[in-house]
Amino acid sequence: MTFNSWHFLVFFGIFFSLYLLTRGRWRMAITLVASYIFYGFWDWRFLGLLALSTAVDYVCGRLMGTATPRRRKQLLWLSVAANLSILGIFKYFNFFIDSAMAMVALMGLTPHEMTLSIILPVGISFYTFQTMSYTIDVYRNQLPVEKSLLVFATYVTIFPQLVAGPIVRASTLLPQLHVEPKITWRDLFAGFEWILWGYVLKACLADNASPVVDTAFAQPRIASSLQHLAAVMAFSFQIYGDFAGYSLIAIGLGRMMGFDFGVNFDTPYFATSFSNFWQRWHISLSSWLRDYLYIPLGGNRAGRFNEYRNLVLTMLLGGLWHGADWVFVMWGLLHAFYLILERLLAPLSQLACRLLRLPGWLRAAMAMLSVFTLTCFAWIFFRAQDLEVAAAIIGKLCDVGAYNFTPSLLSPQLALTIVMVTLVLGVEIASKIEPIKATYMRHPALRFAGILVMFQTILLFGAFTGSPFIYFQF
Amino acid sequence: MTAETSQVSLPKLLALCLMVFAAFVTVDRAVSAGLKRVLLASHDRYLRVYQPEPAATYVVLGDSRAGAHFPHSAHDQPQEFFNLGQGGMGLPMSDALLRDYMATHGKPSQVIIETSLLADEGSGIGVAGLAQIYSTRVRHLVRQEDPASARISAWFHTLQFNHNRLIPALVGLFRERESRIYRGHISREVIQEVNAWEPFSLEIPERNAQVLTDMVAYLKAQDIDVVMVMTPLLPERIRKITNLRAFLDGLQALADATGVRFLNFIDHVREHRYFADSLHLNAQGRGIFLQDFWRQVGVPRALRGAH
Repeated sequence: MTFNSWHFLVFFGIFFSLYLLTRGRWRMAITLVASYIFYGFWDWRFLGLLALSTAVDYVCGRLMGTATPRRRKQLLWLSVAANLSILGIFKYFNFFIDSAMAMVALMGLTPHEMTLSIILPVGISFYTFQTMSYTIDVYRNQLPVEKSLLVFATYVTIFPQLVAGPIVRASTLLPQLHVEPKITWRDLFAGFEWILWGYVLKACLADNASPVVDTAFAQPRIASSLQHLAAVMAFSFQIYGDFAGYSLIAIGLGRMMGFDFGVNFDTPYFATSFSNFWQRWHISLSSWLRDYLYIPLGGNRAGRFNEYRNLVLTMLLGGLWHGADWVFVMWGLLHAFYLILERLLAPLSQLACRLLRLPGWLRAAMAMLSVFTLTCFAWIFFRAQDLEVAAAIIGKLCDVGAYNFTPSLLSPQLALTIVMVTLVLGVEIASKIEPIKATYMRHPALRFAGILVMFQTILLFGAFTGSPFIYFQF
Repeated sequence: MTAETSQVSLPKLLALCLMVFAAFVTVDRAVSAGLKRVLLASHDRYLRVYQPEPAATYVVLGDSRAGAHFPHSAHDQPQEFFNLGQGGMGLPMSDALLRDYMATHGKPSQVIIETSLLADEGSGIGVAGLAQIYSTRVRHLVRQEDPASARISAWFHTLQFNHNRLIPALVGLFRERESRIYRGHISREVIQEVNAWEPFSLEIPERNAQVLTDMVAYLKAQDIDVVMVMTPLLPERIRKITNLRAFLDGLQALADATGVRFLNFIDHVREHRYFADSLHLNAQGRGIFLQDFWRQVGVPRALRGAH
């Protein structure tokens, strides 16, 4: 059941009616049951896994409350090991076995076929990271132990963000679950606005860009250089529209239910540096990796070498979090390389700007363009089926002589993608101009007109292909 | 407590949902009516079918190969040609558009059918489905092919405009010329890729044979000359067709049964430098093909001197 299906509309209609009619524990129980139904629609066989992950962290958390420091540490390791084992088995087992077999084959030996037929449970990376944040925070005494299983299970499974995030930390959501959610007209309206904008991003931007991307990536050697250039840029907006769209729908649904899930994307393609990019892109994951991996590893406190090592490890894990494949490893390493290069070149670029006396807006524009271009380059690895395809596409892009124009390049989908990118970037720029934003937010009539425009945009330009959200596979 | 911060109740929410739905429907009707009027001024060729202007001498039907290989309505000679060829076009849609064209413009002298179109099972609603806003024939075809979206369109009329062709149609409000001529030439990689393909066969679906028979009978009854033509294909691609002879014989049999000429140019151009890709001739290749095509069919008035 995806957010862009009729099933979901019916499901949410029924759920929300019951949600409004109930209070207290009943309301929470309905949320929990609805979340299990929502997840069961994907594959009911993995409901047990979800319950297991919930139970392990709940029990570890409860026991930590009364345990000695040594025992608390053991319980933390038990929880982390259990979660990583679930991830390891379901997500990474075949990857490591395949890679090991490839190594053995390289040495001239004939390995036995060991790959298992494992189905990846949807949303596993999201909910395991979410539950791990709970036990780590309890261990660090940053969060009280959750005593109610109902509250904890609802926190783990609450359906808007269960399968593709945002990764809402226990410290954000658990306190909210202890207070009766107050559903106001203001929250309802704001939630509805976000949901509609999320659908615009998904159906109008991401799903229209999808054919442009798929055609070129399916034939890396046949598609022309211009086609690849268009496809890579289209993918940068497809992945943004898809994931930011899902996040907005999830956050909007949460807001309608009276919860604040935080922000997951903040106009990332306007970032002026890579550090800035990671403060704007998939914020819930990047801040998770920062707080639970990069800083515990030492962050930037123990010299340059350790800082760079920590960056590489963090971005490598960030890449692997997306999928068990070498293309994601490359993507993560590339971003680590960008972050390190940025730190190394910072004094030089500051000096160059001072000497050339470039105005601030020009510096910002050049920085945005550079970050966007290099991000697009990294997306090639993220989207390619394997490293060979990525190399073929990069080869084509570097072949200056092969930039031939053909009428088929200007496909209606590409034209529509360009229109939608312009629209989305225009709205994002407007949302950052304070007087425009304030005027818009102050006038309900303007906001209602905005809702009507968003709805018409979806009707006119939405691709109703029912294609799933890309991040479900992670 | 203000109205904004008061708690939501289910009855009030349901009432609000109804009001919002009513607003959506009202705006939908206004937008769709406005677009219907505005788009009729577009130079997009599928919308020009519904604009009253004199009939062209030649109407070309086909897929992207027809679009690329034959003169184009707005590009080459506006009064002489009307080329409906486009990738993804199907024979049923071509038939509906041709009949609509004749109802609005009158009779052309000749209809040229690029026969690759006959091997395509698609209806073509993905290419010209937008025409349903002006045409009962096209609307009927869309209903047949995609009943679910046709049902939803009854609720929200704007959905009829949700089509691949909407942006070109809007661009056509400001831009008259549209080129379908391919530039550049096929690369070695593409030829290697074609060589690596699995062999495939070409069939003429029963529905297409029936639509063609009906269409030709309709045209002949109005004294319109019809020519079926297979334009050149890349030699490597031809070699992959397992039933080429049978396919061409099938086309000839259809032509004989309906009493029209069938001209086979499939292997007329052999050099790679005349192809833009495995399906389309480039500008030079197109010139070579057209020169010989017009020699057989008779050079159009507008092109005399050019060839």
